[in-house]
Amino acid sequence: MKKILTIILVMLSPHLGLWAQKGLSIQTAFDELAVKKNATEVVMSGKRLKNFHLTYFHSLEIKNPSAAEHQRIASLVQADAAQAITAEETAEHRFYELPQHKGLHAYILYRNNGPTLTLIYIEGKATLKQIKQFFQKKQSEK
Amino acid sequence: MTQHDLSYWEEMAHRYFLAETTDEEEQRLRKFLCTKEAQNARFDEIRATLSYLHVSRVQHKPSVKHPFRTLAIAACLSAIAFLGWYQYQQQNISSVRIAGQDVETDASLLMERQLTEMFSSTNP
Repeated sequence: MKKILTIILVMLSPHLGLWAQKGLSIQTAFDELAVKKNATEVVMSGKRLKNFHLTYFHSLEIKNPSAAEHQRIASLVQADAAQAITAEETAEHRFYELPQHKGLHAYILYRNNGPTLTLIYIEGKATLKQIKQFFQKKQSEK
Repeated sequence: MTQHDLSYWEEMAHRYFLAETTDEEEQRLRKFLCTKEAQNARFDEIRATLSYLHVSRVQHKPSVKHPFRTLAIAACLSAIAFLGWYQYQQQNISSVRIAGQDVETDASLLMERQLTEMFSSTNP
């Protein structure tokens, strides 16, 4: 019986650590703002992300964000930026690398180009450089 | 151990066969038969008898029945199967929500567009 219980606990364990983002401030942004009528939320995990060497993707895209929405997300991102180990910041975007979780890289990507505000949280084995190169290459091929 | 001691045990073995020993004496006799001093042909009969009884007792020990054992195993296996299925489902999430409402669309395309736009104006 103990063996069976151990097997159950082992099977449960992946759920306990699922989505490290849960402990981040940006989770509030996903919870609060994803229901807004100008918001699009995308959540992906599993085999469809394998090609990108990612394990989890969560994004929130807000079209024509209000000043309050912009302010809210920016402040939440800023709160998580405190624990970032690397940061890349420009007027238009901010990329933060968070401490590794279970051997996986975790990034917060934030972009505000005026009409569209995008917040992305990703986890995976790929580095930010590799992800960038992959999508920049993809764009150049179009 | 002296010869007198061996006689004592021999006498006790004799009384055992006459069913005159107490439980405590039988216990002591068993312990003695395991000692080096008892490795003597004169104790072979009592050793064989007690060994046979011990083995018989172990082999015919009534098994303890657990009335809910089958049910518990079935419940555990069901739980494992459910968790396996649930974990598989959780690992392959692909959802798009617009204004909080689930929408049937290809999440991969949206993801690729968003990441492409995200990195469009950045250095490699």
